[in-house]
Amino acid sequence: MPCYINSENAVLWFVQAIALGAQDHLVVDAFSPADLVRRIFFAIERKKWETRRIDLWAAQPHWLTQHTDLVATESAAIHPAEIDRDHRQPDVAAAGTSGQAKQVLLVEDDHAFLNLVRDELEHDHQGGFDITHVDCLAAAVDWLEQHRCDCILLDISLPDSDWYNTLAKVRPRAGTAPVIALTWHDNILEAIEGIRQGAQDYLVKSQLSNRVLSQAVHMGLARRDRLLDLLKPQPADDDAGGPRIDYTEKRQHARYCLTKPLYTIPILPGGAPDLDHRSEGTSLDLSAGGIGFEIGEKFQLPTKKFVIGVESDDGKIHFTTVEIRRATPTARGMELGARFEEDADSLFCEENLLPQLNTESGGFRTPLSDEIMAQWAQLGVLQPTLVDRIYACPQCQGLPTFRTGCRACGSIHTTCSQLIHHFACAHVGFVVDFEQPGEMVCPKCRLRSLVVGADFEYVNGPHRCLSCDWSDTELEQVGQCLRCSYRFPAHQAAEQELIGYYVNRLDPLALIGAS
Amino acid sequence: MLIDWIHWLSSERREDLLLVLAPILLLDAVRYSVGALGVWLVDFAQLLYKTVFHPRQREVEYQHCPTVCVIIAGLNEADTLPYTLESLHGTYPRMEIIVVDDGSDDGMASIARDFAQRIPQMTVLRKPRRGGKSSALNFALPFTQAEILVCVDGDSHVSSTGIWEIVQPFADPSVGAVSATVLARNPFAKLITWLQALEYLRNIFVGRMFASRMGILGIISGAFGAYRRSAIQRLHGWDVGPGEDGDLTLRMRKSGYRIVFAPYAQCLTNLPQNWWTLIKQRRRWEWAVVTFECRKHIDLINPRNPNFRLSNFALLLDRWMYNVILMYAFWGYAVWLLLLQPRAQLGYVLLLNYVVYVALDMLQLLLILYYSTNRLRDLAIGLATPLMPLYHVLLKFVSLIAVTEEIFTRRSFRDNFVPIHVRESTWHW
Repeated sequence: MPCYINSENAVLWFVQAIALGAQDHLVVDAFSPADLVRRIFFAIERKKWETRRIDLWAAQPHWLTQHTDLVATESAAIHPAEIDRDHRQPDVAAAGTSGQAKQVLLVEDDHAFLNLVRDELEHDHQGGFDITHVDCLAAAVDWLEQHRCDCILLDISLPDSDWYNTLAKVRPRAGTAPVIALTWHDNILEAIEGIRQGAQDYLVKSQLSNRVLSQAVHMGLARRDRLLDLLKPQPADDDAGGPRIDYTEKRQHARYCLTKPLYTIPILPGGAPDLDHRSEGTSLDLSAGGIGFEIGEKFQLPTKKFVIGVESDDGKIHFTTVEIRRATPTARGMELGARFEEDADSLFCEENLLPQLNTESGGFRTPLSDEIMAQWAQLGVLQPTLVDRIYACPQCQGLPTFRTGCRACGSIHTTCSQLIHHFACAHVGFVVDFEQPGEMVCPKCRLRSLVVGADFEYVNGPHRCLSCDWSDTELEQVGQCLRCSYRFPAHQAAEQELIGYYVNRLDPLALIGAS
Repeated sequence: MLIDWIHWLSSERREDLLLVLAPILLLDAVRYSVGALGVWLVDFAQLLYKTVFHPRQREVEYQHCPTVCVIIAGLNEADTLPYTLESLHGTYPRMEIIVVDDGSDDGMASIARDFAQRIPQMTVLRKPRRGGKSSALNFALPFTQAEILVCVDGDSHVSSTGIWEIVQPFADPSVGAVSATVLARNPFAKLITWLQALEYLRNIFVGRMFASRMGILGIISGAFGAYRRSAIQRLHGWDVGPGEDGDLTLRMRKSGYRIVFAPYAQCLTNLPQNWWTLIKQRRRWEWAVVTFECRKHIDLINPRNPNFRLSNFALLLDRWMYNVILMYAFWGYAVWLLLLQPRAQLGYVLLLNYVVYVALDMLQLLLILYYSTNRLRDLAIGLATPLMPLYHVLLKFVSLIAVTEEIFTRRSFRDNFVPIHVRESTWHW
């Protein structure tokens, strides 16, 4: 629960600090120790309230759409009876459109104070507050039923209500909008209780000076935005074996229902697809951790593993493996409850999709047989992709080793005579003819004390094979198979393509976004 | 104009005419024409003698068949090497081939290796760094035991009987090396190759016949020549060039071997196709004359030397005369002609020289055709005869520059024909 203390008093600093995770932003020379204590209590209580809030929002199965959708379309999709006003759809239209004017509802019966508030908010250089004023609780509740608003400034001692009731009635209707309580009573216990009830801030009217009010409004909005960011699904990273899925603690609480068709394929023991029982299911219930779906036939499940696929926005079907936790027969077929498998446990883990070196057979192959992989590829679940290219034995396709050797017979037993080229007289002769005790002497011109590099250079004669008497300037690359010991020139090696498989991985979180 | 010229001609005295004709009479025109005529007379007499006295005797061809090793040393000749190898393969029974790649970077060695797969008696040697043609040829020496070494350039085609022809003179054990005919493979590609083709026919095909008969043959073309391996091993192979082929010939003569000419051992080579390449080639030839004949092997004229032979002395004298002294005389004459002769007569003198030169060349052309194996081609090449005087004047100019710079600055040791690390460590004659 970080608290950020800065010496500059600028609204931009406040907002940024909150967006980066600070709970509050204090200016060094503008607060008293009592104020600090008060703020710390506020922060603790506010955090507790936010946590409860997240749990409440995430536990709601009807919060299916991404936060960027408009309220109107959501309301149409959700049955009105199911709408609990307390847990109203998080309203992000306001948060997402920061350029537009922010609706501020000011509930205040004191007209003198009203002008002060208007004056401060309208002259705020961050700008864009559209202030609506009502002067009693009933009017505020009515207005909130019909309009959306981004922030509520609530005088909690209204003529038609006491402070506790005021907050209790306004808070559930406020949606995600922060409620900032205003009071004349400087009572810390009352203030803490107010925060506990869901107020963002609790301001004493007599202490409103130096733009405290507009800061409170900005920080309230910033905290709200941060809260909504936490609920937004994160974009999944692409990985070699398909997109990697990021399970975060928060999202496991969310439950959704999928409208797109769900392709289900049971997995046979051994990893092959059960072609007889693949079907199109309907999803009943979806969360980040698992999925419930219904298929149209009843049969004995071969294994507890299923592959399910959902078409995503890019037009491709993305697949993942699930483990069936419960199966209940229904009138139409079976209702299955399943848990998404981690990548490493899945049938489509990296080891199963890429060819692996088999030391016994001396070759590369995928752990599952080629027929099984071909069946999956035929279903469109796996897509073959070229992983590597290797050289193999032309006879048995085993792995060879390579070395240099005689071009004709591949033998390793070759000799190469070394000669000396004496620059001055152009003589080229064997090294032994040059070697004299203690020095090099040219046998042709009799120059003595020759120095390598300056006077002569070494040159190699042709390589001569001792096994077959072949001679050549260069040795050949010779391969020898590790499995069948067949010896062959390297250029005759069979070029093999290693085929691996690629799967478009289903990201349950992306599913939530797409539903 | 022509009438005037004839009038002028008839009015001049014989001594004066000889004076103005001095350059061509002194220079190679007369030497080659008269020499060739002499050779022809001898041959014709022999032919008459044979037809009269031994009419039934059949010429027995190719009695000598030693083992032969063909050495092809080259740098960056991957393009032409396959054709050279094709032209050699299968023309001689006891033949092995060694290809030496002198540090090429165009894959010459790998092309040769591909051939070595098909031709069993073929070895490929590769030097990692360029070391000059001499070292490349020497590199092949330790890897052969053949009696005769035949050196062929990587861009030359040996005629089908070329190897047979070139080994025949080795039946005589005193012969250390055999010179062969080099002809143009691309005579009609350009005017420049046409002129060179005619020059090669004149200087090599017929010119060397005369030198060989006179015993003063001192040059073996690098493109195609044969050496007795025992002789080469006594001399430890080639020395650093440029002009290493001429140098080896002189060293062979110095050690007592005879050099003969096999006119029908023919090889076709690619001639330079642009003037600058040609000029660079000729400069190297002229440098070699100064470096080797005038400096390194000057001891050939020393009569007290135990190896002194009159033919070697004559050879050296011939080189000095024609390549150095008369060449300078020619340019001295040209200056005299331009400065001191009356202006009016200049045109007459040049025309006279031109006519005489072309006439002598025509005579040579007839002799070439007499000996030629392909008369139609050689006649076509001979059509360039009227242009030859100009071509020779140009070459004389190149010769003037080259000889002068070699005499005074030893230019050949700055030439890139030999790589720098070799140039710097060898002797500067």
